[in-house]
Amino acid sequence: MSAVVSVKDLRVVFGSSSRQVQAVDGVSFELAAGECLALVGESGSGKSVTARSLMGLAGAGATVSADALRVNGQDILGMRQAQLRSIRGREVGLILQDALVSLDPLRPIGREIDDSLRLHTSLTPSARRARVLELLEAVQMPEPEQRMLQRSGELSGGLRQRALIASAIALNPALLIADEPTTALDVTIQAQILALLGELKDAGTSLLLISHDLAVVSGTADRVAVLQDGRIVEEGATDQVLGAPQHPYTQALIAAIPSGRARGERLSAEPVRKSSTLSRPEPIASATPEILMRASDLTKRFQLRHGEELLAVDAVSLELEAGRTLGLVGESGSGKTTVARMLLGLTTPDAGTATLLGQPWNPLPERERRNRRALLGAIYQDSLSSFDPRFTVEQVLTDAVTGGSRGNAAARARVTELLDSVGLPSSVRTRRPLHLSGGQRQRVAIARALAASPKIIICDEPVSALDVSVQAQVLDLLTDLQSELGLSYLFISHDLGVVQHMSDAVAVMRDGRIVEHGPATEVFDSPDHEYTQRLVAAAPRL
Amino acid sequence: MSLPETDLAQPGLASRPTATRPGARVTVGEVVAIGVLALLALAAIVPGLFTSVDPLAISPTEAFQSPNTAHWFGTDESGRDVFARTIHGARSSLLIGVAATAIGMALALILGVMGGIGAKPLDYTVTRVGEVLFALPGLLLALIFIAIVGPGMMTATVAVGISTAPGYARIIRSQIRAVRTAPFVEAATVLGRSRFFTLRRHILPNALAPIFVLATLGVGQAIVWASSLSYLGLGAVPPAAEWGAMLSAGRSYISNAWWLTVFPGIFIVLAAGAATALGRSMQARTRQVER
Repeated sequence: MSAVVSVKDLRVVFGSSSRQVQAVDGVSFELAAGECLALVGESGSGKSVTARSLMGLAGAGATVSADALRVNGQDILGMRQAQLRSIRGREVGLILQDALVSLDPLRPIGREIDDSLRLHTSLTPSARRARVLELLEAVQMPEPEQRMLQRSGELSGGLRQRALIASAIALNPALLIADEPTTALDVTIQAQILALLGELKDAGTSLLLISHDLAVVSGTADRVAVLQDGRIVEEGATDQVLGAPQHPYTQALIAAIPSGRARGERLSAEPVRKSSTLSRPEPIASATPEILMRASDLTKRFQLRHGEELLAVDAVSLELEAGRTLGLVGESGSGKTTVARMLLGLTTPDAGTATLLGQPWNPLPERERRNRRALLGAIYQDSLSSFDPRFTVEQVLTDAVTGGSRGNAAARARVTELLDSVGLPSSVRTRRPLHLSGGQRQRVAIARALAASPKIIICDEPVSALDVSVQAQVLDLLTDLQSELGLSYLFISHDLGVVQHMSDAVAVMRDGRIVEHGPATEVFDSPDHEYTQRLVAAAPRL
Repeated sequence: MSLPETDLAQPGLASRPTATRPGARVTVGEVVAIGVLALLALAAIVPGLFTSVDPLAISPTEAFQSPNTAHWFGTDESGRDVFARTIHGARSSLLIGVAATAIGMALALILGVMGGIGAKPLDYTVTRVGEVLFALPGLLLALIFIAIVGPGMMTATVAVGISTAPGYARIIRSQIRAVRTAPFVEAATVLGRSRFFTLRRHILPNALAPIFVLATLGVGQAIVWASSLSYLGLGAVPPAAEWGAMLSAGRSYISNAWWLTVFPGIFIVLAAGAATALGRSMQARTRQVER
């Protein structure tokens, strides 16, 4: 079997001579027909640039060199733009992370898929239409006749991704590049899309799968290549790489995956903080732990256009106990964030109440809540936008410590203490969150949440935007802080592995309702509700 | 009225974006723009530095001299030195430009903040009134104001200010509205900050920062508008040395004494061009810093 893709000593350099960045540093691999190779690595490891070089799309300012860079026997390096254009779509199809950005929002998806047929084939319009329908059926799009007339914004994330795949395979390319194809999708949809990619592979298409998450690729890929700093540090059959990783970096990546890891078990290899003298969390012995916050029958409706109403949260009741974590898991649109907002007093419930330490909390005028706000901290998914863009880290934290007044010596000492407690060096003080890495930003967010010494922290998807290894560090940090400070967490995530690892108790949400609620081990090991069973089954694991 | 000049010559305005991003280099265009504005500002403050000739001194025997070594820009119909008049004209032209922008901004701030943070009925009223004013061409609005109050430098300045206000107000309002719903404002609420505190500390600074860049752009426009009004005889009145008024006076002799109109014209273009170029590059820089 001849190789569909052959890459030998690929090097990609960005920038001019004064400030060069070596994005890809001598990568070699081959990919046979009907085979799936996964390129796995963290952000900045060079995996996307490697794959894009195969289409001549390495990016502006990139200098690409290689001993060989061939797709279907054709040399990509020597090609002119016009030749590259004819390759794209016909020989190589590309699937990107977010189909909402990849598809033109103003055109029906049928037209989008039709584009490559119109440009690259001489089919008649009616033949093209038949082919578009056939493609939509091939990607298991429900009701393809109607869907092809809809725009990408009218489709759900999973259906959009299907449409994008349909356009990528329209011309039967020999090679399909999928760059984080499921990162933006819910677990159950992710499982479906991965299954679809697996079917395409079985039909003879070569698949280059790119992901930061080893668990995602494990079911689909035949071989795995682990990239670090532009080099392949380990390559081999999937079972071999995942089962018996040789390189320390691969081992660290695998260790960072929280799925199926006991509560309190360390995920990151290095200590999160330099002076970590913290004990492992111990099971709470007390039979009746103190209940800090209680939500009873919280209900929230939103007015949609056309006079419709969305019941976002439907009679949700939950309790947050001191020193323990309640995991709230569900797919996008299940109402998790609305629950968090009601507990934070940002949204007023239509019915039901939330109490804090037995006192009324929501609904309540903000004035009566304000002096008790210190009891409650929050960490958001997109921490960057939760910081005033004009502020440095020092200003963010001083503001949180002093309640907005000017910093004094005591405030400076407290900021130092906070930075230490989240394992950030004091050199970040003068920097703006914009110039920090995602993990560092999330640590600043945690430090800010801790500033007022809260009893409860509401964590809304705190690690969803992070690479697996960085996620591991942040999760370890949260675990440490909980055992040290006796914090109560409401931990919201769409990722079952993360929730399972972090939670004592779990509530599963769907369509605004809690469908299952109980101790984490019970819910995950023997799910009662049919939806929880589906979620657990769909969760990717090694 | 020393405020406008200091405003214009303030080096902090130009250097602030560089301070937030030390790596960004100053371009040649920025150096030229700052240089031109600095020279014009100097001419406005101490015209004696450039010419010792009285811009109003008439000398009928020297009328209509073309540019020569004694009179670099030539002389006008009364034998006044055009160079001296152009240099002295910088004061009123720049003053009008800066003062008009300041007036426009001040009005816009009041209206924009009212619309941005006010209750729905207030926002509605302010927005609708703004839209009505917006429908009229800016210069027409200025003409209406002058028609009511009467011509003069002061009125022209206020008129230009008023006519630019609706545009700025609209931008300020939408900026505030956008920042009000930003996640960091919600984060401040979660931290227990009061509404007034959040407004003062987070909303206004973030919403208004881009407005100052816009104001620099506005100065260039205001200079042109003020000159237009003077040209129409509604601003500075002859024999006052003002670029627009000089254009107006020189218009009758344009076929045989081109220097009467060309030199003040060049200075209008220089001043407005430099202010606009500087504003544009400041805009680009703040965008770079934000992204």
